[in-house]
Amino acid sequence: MTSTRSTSITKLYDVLLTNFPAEPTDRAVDTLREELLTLVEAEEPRAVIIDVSRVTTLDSFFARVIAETAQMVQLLGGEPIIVGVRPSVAITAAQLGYTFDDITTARDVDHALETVGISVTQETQTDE
Amino acid sequence: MDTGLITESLDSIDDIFFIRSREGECLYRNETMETVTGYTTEELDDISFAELFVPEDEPRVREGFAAVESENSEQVIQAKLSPQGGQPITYELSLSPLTVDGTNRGVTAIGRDVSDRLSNERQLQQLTEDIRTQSMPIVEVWDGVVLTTVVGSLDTRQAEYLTEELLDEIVSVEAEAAIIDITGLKVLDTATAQHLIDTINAVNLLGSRVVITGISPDIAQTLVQLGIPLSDIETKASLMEGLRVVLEQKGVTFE
Amino acid sequence: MSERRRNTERAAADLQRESPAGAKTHSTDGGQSTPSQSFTQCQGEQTVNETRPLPDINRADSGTVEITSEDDILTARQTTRTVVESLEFRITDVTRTVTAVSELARNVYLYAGEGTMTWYEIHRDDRVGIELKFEDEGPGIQNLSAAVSGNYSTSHGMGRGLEGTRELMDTFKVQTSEDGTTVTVRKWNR
Repeated sequence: MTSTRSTSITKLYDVLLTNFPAEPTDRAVDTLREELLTLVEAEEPRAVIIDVSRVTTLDSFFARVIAETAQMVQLLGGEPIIVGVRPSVAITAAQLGYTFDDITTARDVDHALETVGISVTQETQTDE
Repeated sequence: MDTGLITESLDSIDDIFFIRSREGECLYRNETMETVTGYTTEELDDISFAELFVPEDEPRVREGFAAVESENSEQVIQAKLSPQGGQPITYELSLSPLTVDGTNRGVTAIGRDVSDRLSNERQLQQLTEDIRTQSMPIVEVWDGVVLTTVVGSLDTRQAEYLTEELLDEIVSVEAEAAIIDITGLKVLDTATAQHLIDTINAVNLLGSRVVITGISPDIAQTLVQLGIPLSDIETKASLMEGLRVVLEQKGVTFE
Repeated sequence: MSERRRNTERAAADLQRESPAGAKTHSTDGGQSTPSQSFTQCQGEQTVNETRPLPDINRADSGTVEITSEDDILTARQTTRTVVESLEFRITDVTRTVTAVSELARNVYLYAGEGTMTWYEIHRDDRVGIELKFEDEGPGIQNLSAAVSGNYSTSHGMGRGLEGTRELMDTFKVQTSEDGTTVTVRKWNR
């Protein structure tokens, strides 16, 4: 059900979950994206949940990386979902005009999973 | 030390300075007392210190002196001085026990005009009150639904507080929807519209749904003129309609 | 599977063409050199192409971060975060300031290759804040007024660049020419 491929990417059912680290270097972000896309290609998940709850700075570079990653996921047939945006990050992002218009956002991983039809109450999996 | 220098300096300060003996006699007062009260020094000889204040405050001044003597400690009291033929002025009196060679001789009183401080305090209180009444309360009206009502106008600072508090509330109650009611929003300029859009986008980033209710035709027109695509924002004419659609999504049915 | 791989490669190539990320721009050969331009925004007022000094303040503590690599962008962010948190900025203002620093430091690295960020703790009356100065000797910003006024196409909702940074800060000043660029920003505690 769950297998960890790298320290930051996890597989839940047929969904990939990745955690953006708190203050990554540009290089670390690039590496994470590469790993993620390789996995998306290999696993063909129905969705990729990008958890940014540890992110405290969303500048144009990170915003672009997230948007590009999401786009790539879409091109490969998956649904990208962003979860865990912090209020202060949301305010700054909105002020800077990063709205991630085409990407679904969710409050947390549970809700993200619900969005794609996986209900995680009582540890049971329901496919709708 | 030249006592002449001391008395001259005491006469030149703005504060009133007064020494009273244990028996209630005036041992010393500075010239400022005459200037401030408007009484001549002869007149002041016949008036007790407490009588210089408005009738309501007289007892308090007397009690202050008494407390200094009985407790041998400093007292600070506020009382309105009543100058002859003038408006009352609020003073802060510092009363200290006067001890010479181990014996208590009386009380030293130093008084400062604090009317400026008070009016500032009052202004501050008024300002706080204004902010509070103009503030936008954020309420969880239903499990997972928060509502905020915007009234008046939205300047930069208010808009920022609104956005921050709204987002914090959404996170803390895990709200799936937020309703922003702008029925009471009187002024919508470019800046306010941008703040509103930014708030909507920020809420969306959190994964919650936003419904704007109470858009008047005027405001709708302004938004369109400002180039804001209304099609991207979920709006409802009335607060009630907004609540209805949000609750319906949660499975609540209405007749 | 091979078809997916082709899709991936095509998708990657498409994105690389679209996005300006990662590439360092060099001075255009034989192109026009950057004219000297300046822009100041302070307390809501803007001045263009006039030397306008910023209001007088008292500077206290200060520090410098050399920007010569991508990792230095992270250092710039972390240093800034430490400073503004010690000045007890509200969390949202911490985020705004650190985000602006990330943008400006990255600009230095991307367009000039190297430069410095100097931070100052600033005081005026009873307020405390931070001033950040980014200096480089790069080729300069060709069209400064376009860059700061937001005539910047938003693709994929990808933001307002320099204009966005300007909105995050209280004071924003840019001087640019072919000899280099200096960006000075201030944020006050509230």
